[in-house]
Amino acid sequence: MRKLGKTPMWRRYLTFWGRDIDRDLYDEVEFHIEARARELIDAGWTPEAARNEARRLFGDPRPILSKCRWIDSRFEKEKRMTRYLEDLKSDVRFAFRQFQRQPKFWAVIILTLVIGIAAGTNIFAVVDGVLLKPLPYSEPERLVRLITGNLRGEFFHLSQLATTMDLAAYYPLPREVTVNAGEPARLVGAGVTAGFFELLGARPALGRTFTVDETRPGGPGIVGTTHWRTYGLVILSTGVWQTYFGGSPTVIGRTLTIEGVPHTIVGVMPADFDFPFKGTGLWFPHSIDPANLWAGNVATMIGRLRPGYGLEEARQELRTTLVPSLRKFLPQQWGNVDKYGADFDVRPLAGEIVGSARSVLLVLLAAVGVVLLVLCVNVANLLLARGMARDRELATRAALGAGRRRLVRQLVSENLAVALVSGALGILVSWASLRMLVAFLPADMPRIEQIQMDVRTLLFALGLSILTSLAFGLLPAIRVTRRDRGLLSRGTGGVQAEAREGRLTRVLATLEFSLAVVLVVSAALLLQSLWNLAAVDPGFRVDQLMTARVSPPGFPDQTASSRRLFAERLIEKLQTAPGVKSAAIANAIPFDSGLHGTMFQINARPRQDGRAYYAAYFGVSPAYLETMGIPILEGRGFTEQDRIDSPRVALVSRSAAKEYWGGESPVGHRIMFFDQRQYPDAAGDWRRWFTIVGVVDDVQFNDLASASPKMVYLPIDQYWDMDSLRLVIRTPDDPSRVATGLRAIVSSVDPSTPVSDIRTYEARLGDVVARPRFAAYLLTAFAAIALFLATLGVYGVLSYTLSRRIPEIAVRLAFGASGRDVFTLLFGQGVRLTLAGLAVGIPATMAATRLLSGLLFGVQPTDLRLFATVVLILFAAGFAASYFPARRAARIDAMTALRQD
Amino acid sequence: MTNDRLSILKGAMDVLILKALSWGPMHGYGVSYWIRQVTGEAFELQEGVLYPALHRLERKRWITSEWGLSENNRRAKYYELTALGRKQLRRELSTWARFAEAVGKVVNATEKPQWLLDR
Repeated sequence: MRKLGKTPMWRRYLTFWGRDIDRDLYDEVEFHIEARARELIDAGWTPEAARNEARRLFGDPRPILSKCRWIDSRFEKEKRMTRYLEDLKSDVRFAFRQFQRQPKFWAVIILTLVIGIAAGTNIFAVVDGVLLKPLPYSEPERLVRLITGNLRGEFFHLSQLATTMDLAAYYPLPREVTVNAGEPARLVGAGVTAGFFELLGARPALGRTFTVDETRPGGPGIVGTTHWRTYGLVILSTGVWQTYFGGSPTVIGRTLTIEGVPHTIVGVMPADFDFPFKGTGLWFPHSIDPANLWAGNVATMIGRLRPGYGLEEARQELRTTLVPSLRKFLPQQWGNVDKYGADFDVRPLAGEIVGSARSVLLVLLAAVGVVLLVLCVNVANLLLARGMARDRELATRAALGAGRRRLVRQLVSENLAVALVSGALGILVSWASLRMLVAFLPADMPRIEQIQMDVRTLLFALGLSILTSLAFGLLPAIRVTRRDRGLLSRGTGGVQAEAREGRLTRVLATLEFSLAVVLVVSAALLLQSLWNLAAVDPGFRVDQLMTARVSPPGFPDQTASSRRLFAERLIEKLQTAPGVKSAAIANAIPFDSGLHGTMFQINARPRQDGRAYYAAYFGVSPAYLETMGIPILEGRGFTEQDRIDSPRVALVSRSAAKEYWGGESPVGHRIMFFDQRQYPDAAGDWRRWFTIVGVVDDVQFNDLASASPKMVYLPIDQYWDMDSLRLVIRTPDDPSRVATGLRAIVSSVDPSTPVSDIRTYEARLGDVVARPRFAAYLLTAFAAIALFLATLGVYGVLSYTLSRRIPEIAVRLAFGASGRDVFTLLFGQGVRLTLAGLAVGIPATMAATRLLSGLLFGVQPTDLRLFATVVLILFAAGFAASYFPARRAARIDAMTALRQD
Repeated sequence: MTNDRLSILKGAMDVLILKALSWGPMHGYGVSYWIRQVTGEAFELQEGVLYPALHRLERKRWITSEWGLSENNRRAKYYELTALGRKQLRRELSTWARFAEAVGKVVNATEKPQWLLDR
């Protein structure tokens, strides 16, 4: 209808400053009203009346303006976004063209980053699963563990007295029990008190949990009792329920025969519940017999803080109120109990479950962080060197009008592209390797099942890749673009700028080297600890020794004579079997669970200074010491004559003798345990004096690092307390040969007795050092990566310096410098870098290795010999990194080099 | 300016604007003027609906805008159909034709439905 006017030139410039939305809207509306007015004037109105009428017709412009303003501002935002994305796309496309141009360079960088991201992500996944994720119970932060003597009496009274928390107890060791449903199988069982499940916030999937009465002897459905559980009732895990009952919904009230005793099933727990042990399959009512409260440390306590109370309040109550009240209930014969309970404590359950794994994982997390740092520094240095080589391209761009911000953005986009590619690859590698890492984890690492690639881990990996890309990319980008002033003039400014860059790369290389020092020293310390551990004498001959566990069904309920019959026949069969030198049975063996301790009394000696006489004690058959290779230091060992009907005898370990008898010989002294787990005599009196007949050497029992426990050995015939028996078999050669025949021998004595846990002692020891080995090996791998990268860093800096200084070197050579001088020049620079790295790294290491102190064994973080060795290794690496560029420099032909420029 | 002018159905606004702009670039006033003219002043295009519609269509990228000079040498904002807008117009026109035909059939129906004859 009307001709389009031409847009004036000045209006076009306006788009550079963006649109003024309000101004434009106002103009548009005003134009409309004016045009309408003109139309009316043409129709004969007076100008003023026309204008008023036009305004009236238009109506209130404000709602129109606000609607339009909203639409326009949205539109502007969308346009900006589109423009930004298009720019980014072109930047990324450009970055990929760069990759194609220098595939090797970028492949090295991406490979480095992939290793770093995968390692970081994997360690994070482990740390997250084991340490960070909350326990799968309701309000897990209110759950606590009580550090006490683990006596049932303590639980019995504390649970009634405590006001700040509710308590429950369980038997702390994973006892394996035998289920006879078809064929013998072994399951992990736990004895738990009433309220145990409720305290954790777990509800049975079927049926109910135990009542208080069911934990007392003679309670409803209870047919028998040992010191750690009662017989007759059981709660199943979902796994057991499905295996033995096919997940039948009518399982409640049916019976399951466990160790020959029929148990009534009262409940089934949901699939994700397995407290207190990994894979717990059966829960029994714990035996809390008010008549027998003070024998056996079989009641580990957990608690839930009541609303309104915190950890500190619970701790306060325990120390100031509960322990003093508890002392009044202790048995008379304990004598002076003033110091009893001084070390009791309340701790968060989560921390207690993770326990010592925490420090290992934190060290690994720190180590992987350092590796990532080294890696970023390395990549930054590579990019910096390349950035300097790229100055011509960037100068051209700057000359064509690209601002510094635009250049930085281009470089950062490149890095972002690198980060995303390596992040994606890193996640893939991590996903593929996490299972392997988990398989490599020590089996006693808690909460392994929580370790997985999930959203948290993926987010971490993504964040890690972006963070590393910023760390390694931003600095070089800023540095490189800052030089655009000098780049264009190509005069002295350029040389100065280059000197600056050279300094920066040297500082980064030094940093890298010092970080490597930290890791290498830490790894060396852990390796040394591992070797020290492996070198610990366990106190018996580990080689050619086979162990196994046999669990005769219903064993605890048999009479002493029928137990002895079984044991004697078994030993006899074993000792006459081919490939067996000697065989013995015991209640407990080193590096296995199941060691009990108790307080005891010596002669009629009154207890001095309130100190408790405490020792671990267990029964062994006469051939045990000989089979294990434990030397008898004084007196005699046990013989076949030490029977239930002969005088009670005992052996004490060297450390127990030293601790409780001082210089005196304990042989001939009598001791009595405050524990009722022995057979009472004919008069029903369980209080028995054991006469010490000998002293034997110490053995390591629970681990290699701590002092050997003070121990008392009893003849197994005089002390029968066990659900299962441990076998030890000494062989003349490879112990694994007897493994195959073992089951047949046991089943020839009793076909219903399962044999399990058949392992050589060397394998057992391997498990004991699994965790330190894991930490040491992983840290060594990290240290190796860091050292390699640091060496590469020094090498890179020198090579780069060399390539830049060729003209200068050529001039020096032309003026009479020898190849040797040139060599010294460059080599000196490398050595200075190495020395600077060590100078920074050693103090840093001193600070960092404090983190390790809990993991070290037999070596101090400040061990000079070790430090010297590590420094030598690092020095050698620095030398090697300096030598090759220096040699190349020395071989430069002056004339050729000069002609090049 | 009488009250018996038809107000425009909201759904019809887009197609009217697009159709107006199909003749060439126009400013907002031009669009409203043309519609008044072509309908014999039957339609009063309310500004309160017209301008937000124009901006909305611009955001949908069916039309673009550019500042130009009007025939009286005044600064005015001209709208122009984009290729996308042209495609949209074709689509809307065919929908509209079918709609109009359908409404026409109903409105102009002369026979009482067969199934009512029995009553």
